[in-house]
Amino acid sequence: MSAFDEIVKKVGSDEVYFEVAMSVYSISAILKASYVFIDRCYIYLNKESNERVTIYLKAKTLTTEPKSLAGEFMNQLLNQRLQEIVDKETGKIRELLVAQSFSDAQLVASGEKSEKPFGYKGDPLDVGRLQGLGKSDELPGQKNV
Amino acid sequence: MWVAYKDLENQMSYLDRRTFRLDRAFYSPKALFDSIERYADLMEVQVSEISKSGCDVMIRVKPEFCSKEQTIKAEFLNYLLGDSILAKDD
Repeated sequence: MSAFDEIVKKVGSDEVYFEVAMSVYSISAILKASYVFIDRCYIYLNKESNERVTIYLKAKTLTTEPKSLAGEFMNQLLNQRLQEIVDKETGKIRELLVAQSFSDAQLVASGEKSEKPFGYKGDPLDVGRLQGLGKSDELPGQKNV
Repeated sequence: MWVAYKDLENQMSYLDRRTFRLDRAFYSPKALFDSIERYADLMEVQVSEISKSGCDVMIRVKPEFCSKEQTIKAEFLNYLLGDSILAKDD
């Protein structure tokens, strides 16, 4: 009997259950993984104690092997947990990048002091040059005085 | 004696149970009452042992649908879980 068979218990032909430690997987990771599988199997989550949760999976179709379903579910749990860790590490940077890309204002200090004044006419990011408008200070239909 | 009972319980499908423990960490009370209302034509649900951590629900599928008892319970629990997850995102 493999270690996997010891962890995942089979009931009947289409049902499995296994315990997961809440010190490893968060409630959020368990819920998100469950939501990924909710169209493929019937799920019941039972919190046995503050440390352990039993996850019951019953395949919706007879063609699905329940143990492989359990294996995929465990991988999804790990994936969701990893996403949480990555989000914790880089979430603020991502939010800042998204906010910057949708904002006209310079949200992050570049470190170099721009000689051009901030604002529409100043074009400190040289958007006009990137769009092939020639001189960045000169906009179509506008002459510099 | 307790060990023997646990062994027997573990050999049964979870859908053979009549009472289900719903922990508040996974199942939201609002989703529970929405789900009960949705499945009211098919079954009767008695909610008991309400505490901060969760509640116990006893499900009795109506006699005319007893041949589909496991499927109805499974669909109910799945709907409840899905609804609870979506409620958490709000």
